[in-house]
Amino acid sequence: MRNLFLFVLLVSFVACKKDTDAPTAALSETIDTTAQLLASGSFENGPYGTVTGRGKVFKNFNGSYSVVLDSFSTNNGPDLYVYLSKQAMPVDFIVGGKLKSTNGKQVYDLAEMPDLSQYKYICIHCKAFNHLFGFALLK
Amino acid sequence: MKKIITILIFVSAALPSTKSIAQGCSDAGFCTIGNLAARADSLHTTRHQLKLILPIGVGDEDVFVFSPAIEYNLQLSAKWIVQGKLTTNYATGDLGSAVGLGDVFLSATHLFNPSAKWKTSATLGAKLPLNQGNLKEGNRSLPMQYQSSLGTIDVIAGIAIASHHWQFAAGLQQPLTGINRNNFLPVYWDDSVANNYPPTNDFNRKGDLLFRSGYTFSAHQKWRFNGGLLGIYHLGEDTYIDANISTKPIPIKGSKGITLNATAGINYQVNKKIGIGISGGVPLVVRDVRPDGLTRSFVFSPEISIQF
Repeated sequence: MRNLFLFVLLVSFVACKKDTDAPTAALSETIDTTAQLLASGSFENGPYGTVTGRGKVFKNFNGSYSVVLDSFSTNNGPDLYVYLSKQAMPVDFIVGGKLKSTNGKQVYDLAEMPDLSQYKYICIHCKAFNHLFGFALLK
Repeated sequence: MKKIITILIFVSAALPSTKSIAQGCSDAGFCTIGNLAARADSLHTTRHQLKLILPIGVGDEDVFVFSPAIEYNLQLSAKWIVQGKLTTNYATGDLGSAVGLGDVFLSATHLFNPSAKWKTSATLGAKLPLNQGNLKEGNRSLPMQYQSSLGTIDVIAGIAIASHHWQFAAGLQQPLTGINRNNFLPVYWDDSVANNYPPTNDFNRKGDLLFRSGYTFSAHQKWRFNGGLLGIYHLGEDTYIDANISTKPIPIKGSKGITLNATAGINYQVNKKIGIGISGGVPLVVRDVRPDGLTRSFVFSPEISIQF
């Protein structure tokens, strides 16, 4: 019986082990001043987050695309990612990258060219637990 | 032994074959814990009892489920019994297969008046999950029908009064942690079959109340039969989260309400140390929606117990 208790405790400990939270130091990354703003939107809270600021998509001078989080702030969580998504809660999406910080202006380069008529949302999403922290509807 | 096997096969065939539910439809675990279990469960009078339970069943959407469990009862004194139970689960269906440990159930039962004709008792216990209810096929979460655990820590409490023949019990199973980590939404599956399962992303299961009445009789020194009614009232509507619909938890309509089962069980004491049995039930009233995946449309649940 004692071993059973130890086993349960061990399982509970492993289950409670927290994934790495995002850094919190405020960022002030910049984007090429010649970049063209294609769409932007204000962040709204998702079921698991309090997110403020604006999400923007730029076309860079060299033809690449970037997602910019401007005046951004979110509560922290494990395994947070930035997605450009067809839905507010990501089902079909392009990964911008792991969230660099919970605060400040930050830039994410996109590996693919998005069709902004379909990819209308920038999402802050906890990948590990499939929790949506916040989203910005691009207009 | 041949005679015993023949009898067990006969009994299982005699149980209703189309809507038979193991230990009661919607059982989140407490129907077989301590004094809430059907009376034939409490045959043992020795200090130790070890029981192996091997339910094979078919759940919603014809998901095949095999849920072996091992249970240990320790009679500490005339008034105290403690129980530990470990469940496992294998499920396979049209969305894939999953295997895993289920839950650990720990409980203590206190008998207030062991020598009285009508014995009253109380049970207090807990269900500790061994996973978070999010077993996957590939990288996609499976519905609750495939999960080996509900993924929540639950507290279980019950009271019972029983005579030589009659048993009346009432109990509560209340999740403490609420939301599990299941991530099933049909939209994540590129398969229309997934639409047949209720969405359970961040599934929040409400508590259950149990009411049991039963009658036990012995037709022979070694045989014991019991039959009764088992009611389980689901205290609220379960919820899930789909932020594409709402940023608030979405109630699952029809998940609240009562499930009423007629139950039956047969136990045969092979010798002083070994007993075997079968239990089953027929749902008389069911909830419209049971997203927890606990429903069984058919089950065959043999068990063997060793007393020492």
